[in-house]
Amino acid sequence: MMAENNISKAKALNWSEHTSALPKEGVVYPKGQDKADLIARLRKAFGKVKLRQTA
Amino acid sequence: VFSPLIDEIPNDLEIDGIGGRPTVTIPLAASDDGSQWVAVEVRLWPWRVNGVECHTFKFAIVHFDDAASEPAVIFDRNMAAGYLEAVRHLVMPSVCAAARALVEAVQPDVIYRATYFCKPPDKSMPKHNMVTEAIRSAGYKLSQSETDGHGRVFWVMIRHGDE
Repeated sequence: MMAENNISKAKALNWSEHTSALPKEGVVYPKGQDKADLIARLRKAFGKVKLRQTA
Repeated sequence: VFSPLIDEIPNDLEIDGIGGRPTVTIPLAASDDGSQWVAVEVRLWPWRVNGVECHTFKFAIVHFDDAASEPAVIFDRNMAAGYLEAVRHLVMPSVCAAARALVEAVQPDVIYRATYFCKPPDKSMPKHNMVTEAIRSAGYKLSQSETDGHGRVFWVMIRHGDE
């Protein structure tokens, strides 16, 4: 029921007025926790590649 | 010079941030000395707009200089081009595979996506259509697709069967 209600509201919304979540710069340099989280994801993903290459 | 790290789409895509900001990070290439990395990051992050709980879908190229510990998230395809010469053909298939994995794992009610560019060129639309099809194949249908006030094309997709 909650999903149906949410979807009904989504269908009624004029989405062309809502663009605040979009990046405005071509390149973003994350700061603080966003930067730490991104580096952690990168190290994890590239660590897996290195493991695969050495296996 | 960047050398490719993959020659096909990985079949073990891992999703980070489930329950928070779900993200798939796919390594694409590394500099010959291994100090700089290039990846594609695909995000399905929650967003609330006018009482609607939705998720925004975005993808970007990430360049990381390990020595400087400074990642750059690149949304402008022209700025990313120099990092992608050897792996350009793998970018969109990777994005689409990650889109399916993310959408199937998260199953949001509503997915919002928009072009980075205002008035995107016609030649860029096939890649956006590929993403639409990937999300459609995960059980979603297109609810709205228009051009917003900034000239960005956007897509709103809703979970099929819940409407």
